[in-house]
Amino acid sequence: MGGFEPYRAVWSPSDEALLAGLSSGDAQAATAFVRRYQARVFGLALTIVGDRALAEEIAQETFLKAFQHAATFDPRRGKVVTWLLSVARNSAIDALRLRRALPTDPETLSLLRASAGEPGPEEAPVQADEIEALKRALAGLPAEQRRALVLAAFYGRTGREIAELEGAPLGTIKTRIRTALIKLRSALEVRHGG
Amino acid sequence: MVAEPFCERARAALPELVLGVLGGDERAAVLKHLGSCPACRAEAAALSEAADGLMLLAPEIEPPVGFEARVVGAWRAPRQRRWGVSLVAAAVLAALLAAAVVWIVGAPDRDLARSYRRTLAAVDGRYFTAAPLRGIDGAAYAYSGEPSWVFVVVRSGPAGTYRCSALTADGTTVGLGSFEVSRSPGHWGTVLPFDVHELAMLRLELPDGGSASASF
Repeated sequence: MGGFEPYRAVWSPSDEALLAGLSSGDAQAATAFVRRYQARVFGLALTIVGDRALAEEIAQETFLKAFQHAATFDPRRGKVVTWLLSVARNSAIDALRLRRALPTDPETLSLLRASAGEPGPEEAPVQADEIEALKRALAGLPAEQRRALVLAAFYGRTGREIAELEGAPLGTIKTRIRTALIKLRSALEVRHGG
Repeated sequence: MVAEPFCERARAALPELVLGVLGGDERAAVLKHLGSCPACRAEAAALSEAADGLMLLAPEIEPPVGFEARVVGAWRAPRQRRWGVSLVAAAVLAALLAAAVVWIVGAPDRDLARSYRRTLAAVDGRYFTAAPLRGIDGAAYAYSGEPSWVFVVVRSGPAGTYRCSALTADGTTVGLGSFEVSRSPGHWGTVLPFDVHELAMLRLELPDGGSASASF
């Protein structure tokens, strides 16, 4: 693609600027937006469903939904990337349910590998910090808490389903999920508090 | 300040709520409580931040080459003019739909996606949408208007009773009804009790116990 590309200038347009551009039909804004988040969206979808073709379908659906709702996105309700990833996550979970697929063993997920969750070149420093803190907190959880949290967060498994999978009482599972998420929240709070 | 007794129950359920895995009744009760309890709302917001952050831990993986071109190519820019909804327009759409069904039968799946997009463009994508069914050979169409409706085509599938339900954007499942298919292709349509923009997925329970869905 030759010629002047307004969205590849030295400065990086905000998500809101790209969304505004694509709401008015600007294909270059749409392309820049997809480029910015495609690795995150596809990576999450693939992590959850484990199938590249399905993950691509989910990723495409996610962006098309984003384009549909671009004009009504409210930045006060949260970050664009958060919203994108939750759409991707929900689509991926639905796709898994339809295929009645069992989740991949959460421990073998690439989440904890050294390269996992490493901030991309365009990642804001604040976000990179957050990711580091969460990565450490997740790695520091007892295995059964981490498993329960990952099964709920990434696979949408309810407490009841996890209890069946793990062969543990429902109350125990609920406590594990709660304890794990609270620890992650504390990890973020420590950063905020400074 | 003494916490209301329900706060303790709500707090215990908040992690599952923000992770989206809390069951229907409990979810409704907790959400209702959040509506009037700023303290629990603040806690829910903090937990949400952690849950959202978790999604960022998944590795960044580049999709197959050409992904962005495919996405942007599939996207139709929203038109500025509004498509007036009227009986005439509805009749035109119905005719177009009938033509689309005939036209699309027999096309391989990749072409289907392109066919749908072209059909959408012809009637201004905001008001009419279509998606292939996953899990069975067929398609689902949805139209936004007064009223909104969905139309399902089963090109080839088991004979028997099909049950149709809709999954809305906020995660609620709404039963839409059932229909009989004795010989393929079968088809069925119904009015949607909500606007099509709330429609996230259409689900079909098949006569042989399987399931299929179309995502919007």
